[in-house]
Amino acid sequence: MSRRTEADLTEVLHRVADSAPEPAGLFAELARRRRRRRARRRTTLAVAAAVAAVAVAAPAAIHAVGDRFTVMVRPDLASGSPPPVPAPRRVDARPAEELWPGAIRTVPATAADGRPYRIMAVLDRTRVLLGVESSLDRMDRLEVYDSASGVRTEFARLSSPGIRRSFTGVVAGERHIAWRSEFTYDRRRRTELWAMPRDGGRQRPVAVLTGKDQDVERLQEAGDHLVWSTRSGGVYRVPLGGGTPERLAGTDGLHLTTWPWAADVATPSLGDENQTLLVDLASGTRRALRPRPGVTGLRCSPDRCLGRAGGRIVIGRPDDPELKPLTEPTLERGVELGQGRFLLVSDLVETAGGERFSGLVYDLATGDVAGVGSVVGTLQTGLTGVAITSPPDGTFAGWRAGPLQSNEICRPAPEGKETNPEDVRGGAAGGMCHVEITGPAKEFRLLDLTAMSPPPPR
Amino acid sequence: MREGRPWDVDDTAEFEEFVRSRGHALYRYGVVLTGDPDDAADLVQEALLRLGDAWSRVRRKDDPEGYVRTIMVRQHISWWRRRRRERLVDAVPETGYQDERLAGDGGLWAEIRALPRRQRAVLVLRYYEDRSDEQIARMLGVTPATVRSQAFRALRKLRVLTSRDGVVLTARRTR
Repeated sequence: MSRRTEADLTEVLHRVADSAPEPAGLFAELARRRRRRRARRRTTLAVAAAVAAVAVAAPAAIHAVGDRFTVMVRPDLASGSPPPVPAPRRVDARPAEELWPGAIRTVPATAADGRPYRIMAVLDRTRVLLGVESSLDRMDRLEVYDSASGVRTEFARLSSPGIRRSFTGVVAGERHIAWRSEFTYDRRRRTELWAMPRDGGRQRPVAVLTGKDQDVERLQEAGDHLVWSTRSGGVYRVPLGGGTPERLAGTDGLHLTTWPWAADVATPSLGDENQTLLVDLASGTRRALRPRPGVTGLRCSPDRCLGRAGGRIVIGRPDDPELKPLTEPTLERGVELGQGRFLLVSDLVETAGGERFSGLVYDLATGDVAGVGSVVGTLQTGLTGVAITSPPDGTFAGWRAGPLQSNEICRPAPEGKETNPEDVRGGAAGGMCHVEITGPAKEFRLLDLTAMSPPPPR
Repeated sequence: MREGRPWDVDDTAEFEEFVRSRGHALYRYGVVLTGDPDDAADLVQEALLRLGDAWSRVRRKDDPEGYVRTIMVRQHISWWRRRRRERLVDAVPETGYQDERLAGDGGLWAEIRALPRRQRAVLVLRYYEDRSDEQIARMLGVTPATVRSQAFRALRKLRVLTSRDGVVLTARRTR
C-alpha cells in the first residue's frame, strides 16, 4: 500500500462531507421540534415572571429573512390565580401607518398556490420582489407583487432545478437582482453568484466560489460589478458579465458595509467589538475611529456612529467623541435602515392610545418615533411580539400583520408521570397552557424606507 | 437566559436565518464526525436545538457557529457509549453511500470510521476543520498533550505519514 499523507486525510474527509446525501426535511423537522420545545420552556418563564417581575429585554428578530411565530404559555389559570403580567413599556410613538402612510405597503403572505412568501426586495414605489418557499431553507421561485394593481407575476424560476440551488440572499441593485446559490456539485461545496436584470430577462451565473472564500456577506451591485466581503474579512468583486472574483488590494480583514465603505468589523454588530477603522474603498481613504471608554459595539458610517453605553443605544458623529443616549435601556442593538437615517429597535411597547408594537423605528433626522410590528395575546395570557424582518441594505422593514388569530390551549398534567426537567409545567396543578397563532397572517405590512420624504431642512 | 420576562419578542427568524445559512455546512461536519448520515442528522438537530435555547446569549458573542460545533463534537463523544452498544447488537447494514463515493481512497474512510470516536473527532477537528491542537483541546475540554497523543495513535492506526514522521525518517537516513 502506498504511504498515506495528511493531505490524503484532509482530502478524504472533505470528499465524504461534500458528497453526503442530505436527508429531506432535516431543518423543517428542526423547526417543528424547536416550536414544541419553546412552548414547553415558555411555561417556566411565565412562572418566573409571576415570582419576580423583573424586566429583562429579550432578543428580537432583526436582520433576518424569515417570519416564524413563537408561542407564549402561561400556568394553568384554572388551578390558581393568574400571575401578574406587567404591561409592555409605555412609549411616545405613533403607528408607522399613521406617521408615514406613504411608505406603508401591504403585501400578501402566501402565493396563489398557498406556499409562503418571503419579502426579498423593494423594486420601486409599487412593486415588491417576493421569494416563494419550497421548504424552510429553500426558495425556488421569485414573484413580483404590484400593490397598485394587486397583480402578482412570476419573475424568475430557478434554472437547472436538478441541482439543489436556491435563491439565497437576494439583493436588488440599481440595475440587477443578484443572489447566491449554495450546493454540492462534483463532490465539492460550491457557492455561485447569479444575477439577472431588474426588468426581467435571463438569469446567469456571474461567479463560482470554491474553497474557503464562500462565506459571502453584504453582496451588492456597484457599477458594473458585484462586490461583497467574506466572513473572515477581505473585499471581492467580479464583473456582472461574469468572470473570476478579484480580491481588492489592501482589504485584508475588512468587511463591506455599503459600497464603497468598509469597516474592520462585520455589521451589524452581534458582539461587543468596536469598529476602529472606516475605509473608503473607492478613494482608499482610511479613517481611524477612537471609541470612548464604556462604549461597545460601535459601528460608524461616514455620517453617523451607533453604539451601546450604559445599557442604552447611543448615537453620535464619527468626528464627535460624545455619543448621546437615544433609547431607554434595552438589550437590543438596533439596526440601521434607509441608509442610516432610521434605526429599528425590537421591543414590546404600548402607546398612550393602547396600541402595541413589537418594534420601534426612530427617524434620526426628525426625531419621530414610529411603532412597527404586530403583537398577539393579552395581558392575561401573555404577549408575543411578531418578528420584524429587514434586509442588510436596510431598504425596508416587514412583518406579519393582522388580524393574527391566536388560540389558548390548555392541557392538564398527566397523573403520576415523572417530570422531565426540560418539560417543566407551570401552575399548581401542573397543567400547561400556551397561546398558538392559529390563523397564519394573510399579509405582510412593509415599511418602505426608500419612499420616505426627505427630512425638512433645519 | 430570558427568565423573568412575561412576554417575548420572537427571535426565531434570526436563528432560522443562521440555520438556513450554516445548517448544511454543520450537517457535513456531522457526517465526518459520526461517519453516518442519520447520526449526523440527529447530532446537528440536537446541537441546533441547544443553540436555539441559548441563542440570545450566544449570538452576542459573535461566534454561534463555534459554539454549535463544540456542542456537536462533545455530544458526539458522549453519545458513544450508549450508541456503541446499540450498534453491536443491531448491526446496521452498510448503505451504498460510502462505497460509491469513495472508490479509490484505498479504504481510508472505512478505517477512519472504525477509529474510536475521540480519536476520530481529533482527526476531524485537525484535518477537516483545520484547527490547532490548542483549539481542539479547548473544544474537547482536555489538554493539548492529550490531543496530540490521540492524534498520534489515530495516525499510526491509519498508517498516515505525518510531516513529523518525515523529519524523523530523514534524520535516520542521515545517520
